[in-house]
Amino acid sequence: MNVFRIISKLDIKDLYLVNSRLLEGLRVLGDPKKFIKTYYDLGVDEIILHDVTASYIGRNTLYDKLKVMTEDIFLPLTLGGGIRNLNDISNILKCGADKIFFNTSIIENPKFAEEAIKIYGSSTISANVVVSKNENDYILLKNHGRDYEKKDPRDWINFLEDIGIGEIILTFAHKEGLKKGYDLEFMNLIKDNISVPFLINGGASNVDSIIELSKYSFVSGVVISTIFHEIVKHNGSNLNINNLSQARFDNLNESKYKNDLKKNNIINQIKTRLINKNILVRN
Amino acid sequence: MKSSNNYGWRYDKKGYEIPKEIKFCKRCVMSNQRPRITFNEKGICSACQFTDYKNNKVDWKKRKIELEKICDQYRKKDGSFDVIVPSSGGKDSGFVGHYLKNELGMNPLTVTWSPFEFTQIGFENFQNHIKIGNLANLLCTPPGDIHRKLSILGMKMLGDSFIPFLYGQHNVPFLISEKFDIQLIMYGENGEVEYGGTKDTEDQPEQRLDGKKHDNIFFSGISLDEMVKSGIKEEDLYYYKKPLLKKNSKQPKCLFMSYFHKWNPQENYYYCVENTGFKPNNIRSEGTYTRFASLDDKLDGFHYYLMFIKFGIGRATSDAAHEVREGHITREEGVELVKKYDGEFPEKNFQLFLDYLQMSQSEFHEIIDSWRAKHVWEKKGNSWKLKSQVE
Repeated sequence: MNVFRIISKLDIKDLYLVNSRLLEGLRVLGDPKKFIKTYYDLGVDEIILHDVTASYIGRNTLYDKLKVMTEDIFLPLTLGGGIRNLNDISNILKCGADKIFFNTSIIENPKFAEEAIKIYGSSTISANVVVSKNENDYILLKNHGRDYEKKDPRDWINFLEDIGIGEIILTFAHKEGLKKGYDLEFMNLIKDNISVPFLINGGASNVDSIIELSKYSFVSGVVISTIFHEIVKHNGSNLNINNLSQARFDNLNESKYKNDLKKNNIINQIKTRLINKNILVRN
Repeated sequence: MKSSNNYGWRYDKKGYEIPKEIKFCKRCVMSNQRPRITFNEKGICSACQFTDYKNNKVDWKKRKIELEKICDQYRKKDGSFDVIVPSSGGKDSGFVGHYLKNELGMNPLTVTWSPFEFTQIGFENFQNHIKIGNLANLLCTPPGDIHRKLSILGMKMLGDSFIPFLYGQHNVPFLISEKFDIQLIMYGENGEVEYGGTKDTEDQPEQRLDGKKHDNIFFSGISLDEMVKSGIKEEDLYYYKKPLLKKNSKQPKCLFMSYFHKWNPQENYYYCVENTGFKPNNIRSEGTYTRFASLDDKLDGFHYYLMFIKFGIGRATSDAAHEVREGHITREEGVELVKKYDGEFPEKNFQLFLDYLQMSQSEFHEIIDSWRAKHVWEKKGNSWKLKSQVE
């Protein structure tokens, strides 16, 4: 039986942690390093870092800072955003990431994904499949949800499986940041056809919503941003999100928020509930 | 028809008071081509200067108390409406309406002047601000023919088919104020100070402009009288005109929310996602990277496109400029976004636009090229290039 993983995803823009609603309105939350360390301390299983503007602006700012950003933690690390060639992958892995994920570049050039898998192996290469609902249809998005591709997301998932992708992160753009649950309708559409590790992102509202996901046997884990960040933010003091210059000097009262967060550790709560349902988790 | 090397003749004829030497703000990405914007000796634009002012000098707690006092004067207790919020159902007006009702106990009527052609997401947001945001609304839609005629005239005279929308957006709230006896109108932001323009209204809560200056700011210098001279019947303009005041009555008080509450479109977005059921578009708008601003009209891409043609300032420049000012993005990021998205042609609704204006493609392009300012554009081979771009 597979282990159900609890993964924290941090969207990074210009070296700041940002948060969004429906992938829009990128709001600066502060220094990602502190958030990463907090999630590590609380017992998250993996970290995903996403350079969210790299693809639509066309530049990468995250690689160089990766080592410093993650020097306090010892967890599997996945990085994505704006990866355009094999050289980018090599650089990211050299900086300490264990896996990379693609979105835009392989939608525009699927051959690139095949090439990357051939060289680095499936276990290193993941894909972020970003879907949104448009009337009664699902559409496939790229450029961090700013453009769409005329492809059925289900066909795209099948294609990725066929070429041997190691893992798929499914992101619900129309649920992201709303804290109102996942698109279970889409989950039901695909549930019988999945054979690779599958992670779900976009919609976590509370512990219950995550337990609901674990009922799908094809789901290997959950990828969480907003609710984790908000818990950290509300426990910290003076975290100024109003502008970049102030966010540069994160002012979290560390001892206070760490105690509060540990007392009320959401990751423990999720894992305990999963164990009670006989689902394996990482300790 | 003028010859192709005579581009920019309509721009010249209009006689804008805009510098011929193009400069970009050193802090944001806006250029000095924006009408009425000024730059200080350090090369910082008036909108950035205003941002410093609102971040450092304004006492927002005091301003909120000022607003509470005004609301106390106008609040009605009999269930009738006490404030008009001109609204598209978007994030900004949605915020104003919801905030007035829930934070200040007012009973707002949001008044929507129809877009040319609602987008699906625009209509959904419009409905949501009523149903989920719990705001009463009046949708005012002009009859098709006159609106189309004014648009055609606007396009031909001014290179902006948006003109009748601007008339109605500005004047219909006055009409409704008169009909419903609502003495307070609350607009969103004072665009002149927030986005760069005349500085003299910085410390004014009220919209006090009238006459020529008023027409310049709101209607690109073309008053409705000039429409009449071009063959539009006076009586067809009822819906577009500011109503004449009845004896002994006074003008309603017109205020800008941005005077009382620190204006931040991104915060308004978060507020409305939470409170009024607002959703961004599935994909970005053509000509920019954002998905949450100016979403409701299928044709407004051309309003922004013409702005790009006339001033070299497209939708991405406008979006990036204020996001840099508000600290959501860095200038470097803004520059990249402008380079990538500014001036992208609104292809998606081009045919719809031509059909609406009963215009051929060649007629459209003749108008476009006639508005390309010579100091802004040059032709290289078959394509047009901006002479200078933000760096």
